[in-house]
Amino acid sequence: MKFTLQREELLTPLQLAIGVVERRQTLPILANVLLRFNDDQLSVTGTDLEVELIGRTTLQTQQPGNKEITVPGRKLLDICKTLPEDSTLTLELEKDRLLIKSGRSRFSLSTLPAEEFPFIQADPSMVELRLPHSDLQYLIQRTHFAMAQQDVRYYLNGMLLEVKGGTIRTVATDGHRLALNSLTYSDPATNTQALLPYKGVHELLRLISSNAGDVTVGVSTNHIRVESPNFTFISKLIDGSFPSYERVVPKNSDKHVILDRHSLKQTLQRASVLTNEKFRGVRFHLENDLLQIQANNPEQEKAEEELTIDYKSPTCELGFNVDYIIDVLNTISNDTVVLSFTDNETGVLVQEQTDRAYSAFVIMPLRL
Amino acid sequence: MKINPNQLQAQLQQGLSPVYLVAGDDPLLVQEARDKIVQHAQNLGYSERQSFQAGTDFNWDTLLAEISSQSLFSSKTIIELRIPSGKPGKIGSAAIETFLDNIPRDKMLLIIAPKLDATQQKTKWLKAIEKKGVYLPIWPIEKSNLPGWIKQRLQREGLRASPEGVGILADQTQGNLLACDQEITKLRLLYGEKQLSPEEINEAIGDHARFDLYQLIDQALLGDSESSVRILSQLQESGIEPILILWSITREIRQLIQLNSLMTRGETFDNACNKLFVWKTRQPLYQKALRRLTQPALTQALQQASEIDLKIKGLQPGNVWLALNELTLSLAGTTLATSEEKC
Repeated sequence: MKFTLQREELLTPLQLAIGVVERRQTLPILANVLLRFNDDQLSVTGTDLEVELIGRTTLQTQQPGNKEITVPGRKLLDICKTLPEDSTLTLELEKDRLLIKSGRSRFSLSTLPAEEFPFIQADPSMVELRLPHSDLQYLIQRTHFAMAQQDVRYYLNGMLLEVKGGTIRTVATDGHRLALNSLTYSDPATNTQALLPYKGVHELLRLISSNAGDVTVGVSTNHIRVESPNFTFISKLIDGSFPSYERVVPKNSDKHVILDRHSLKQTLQRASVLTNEKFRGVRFHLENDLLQIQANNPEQEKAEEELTIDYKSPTCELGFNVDYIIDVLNTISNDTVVLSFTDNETGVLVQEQTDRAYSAFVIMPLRL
Repeated sequence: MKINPNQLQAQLQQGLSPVYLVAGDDPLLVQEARDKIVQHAQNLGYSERQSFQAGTDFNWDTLLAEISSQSLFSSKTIIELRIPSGKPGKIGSAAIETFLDNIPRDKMLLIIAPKLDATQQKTKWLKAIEKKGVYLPIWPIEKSNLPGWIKQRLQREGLRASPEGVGILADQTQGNLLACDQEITKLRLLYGEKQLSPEEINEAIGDHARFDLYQLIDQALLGDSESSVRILSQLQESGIEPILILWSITREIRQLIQLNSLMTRGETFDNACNKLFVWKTRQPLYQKALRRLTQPALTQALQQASEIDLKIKGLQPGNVWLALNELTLSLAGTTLATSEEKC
């Protein structure tokens, strides 16, 4: 059995699926990707048992019959990447070896039987959503940075996706900051919740960033499935309950600082050079339309910055992890930012609102 | 403040200190003191827990970062710091002192360390802990106090035992309170709340299966058919693999054959035992068995054993346990004749 295809026809779906293939595996077959030829369709599947990615492409030439085989994914990718552009590949199975020929190059790769490939056995979806790629990308992009990573509170190592009363919402928090984004959703009757794991969120973001059109999202008790013509994404869900995030978003902040996003970001980036590696702490001194920012590190080196702002409330001192603020400033799009707060023991709120989108970012100040 | 384990409960009732140091070498007692403090703190709303292991590559800034970080969910946090060496070093000591000078009111520090010696007890960080909080040194239980401790534990589980029974427990688990505690829990699960006899304690302690396997051999060698058959059926109920029983019986048969052949060549029993490295304690058993069993009977028993082996491996039909029963009886000597008659 012999298949002929263009380099790009293999490379595109392979790059979609490879993200989930770890460099070190617990099972040999997890290093492999599954190639499936079906008439003029080629799909490439990779898995780490938690997340399964399938990249798909339509081949220009009709292929002789159907075939499934698994080959080492990273090696196949490296070969394809380094072959010249627009080269033609022939793939041929010789006993348990896959022979790849292109021009004067020949490669022989080891294979494992396709029957052994561990597909995730997902239950049928109970709720299905349909939304544009751009919506899902917007939501994940603006939320994912606040996820915890390897926290003992395992339910924080992920992102909550919630559809309720005509809005679709994503929330992530690491216990010190929180990001919440929501968009209107066409069907007000849809009601569902899914807690996606850290790695799955990053893979999904990568997949949807390189695509366009609509996606279908299916949620079951233990799995989420995102489908588009070019890819399928299946991930296990975190089995735990996300903290009640609504009570964390401050409602009655009485002090407001209005400032320019770009100048604040640049100021903080400069000041962050001289912060403590662990705390990343900066000190905000607010006083009648003036913001003084101070940072110092264990070597007693010091940074001082001043910014003209709009602030009318009494003099106040706040401490922040500088990275948390920069993350928010990188995410929002308005040129003017409003920081709302009450005191240095409750969260500081940054909000953004358009006709169909609402975002809230909460950062807990550091104790000075 | 320096307190002993008995004062801990009262101290906690008076109010949670911002820092506790539990230092001791007995894992059970240290763990129990730690659990008690954590439990009390959790009841007071300390629902988050941070755990640090202060090994050689620990970055003490991580501890200091806890001074300034605040939780969004406004809950209180227990910071558990384990110092396996008991020596935080210069940087660590300074970090602990800084932490103690700036303890946030929504956090508490719980340090777990091994026993601290006299010089360690004079260090500045320990002095600082004694000043701001509670230092709880935990001493291992002396052998003379162990029976008292066991008695108290038994009582807590609703059990009672005679001094003899307590003595058995103490002897079996001395130096390992963790094991002792597990045995007491096991006793309660086995017998429920009641007065325990020394026999019941003896029976429950130790590895059941192995204990009885050897007992089976001993009874068979002694020629007590009745009790060896009873032990065998108990073993069957406990789910032990028949191959293990067969292995140990076969080993004894081979040993007996070797002893016998040495003796037929003119060696005395004692010499034969020495040559085969038979333990002194087991010699009377073999002596008794050899008085009963002849060379042909032993060869016949070995043949039986090989057939059971085939049965276990499914190469020959037949009930394995029944055959094992027969073999045990052969070894015990009484029914060998009848089984020969059957053949």
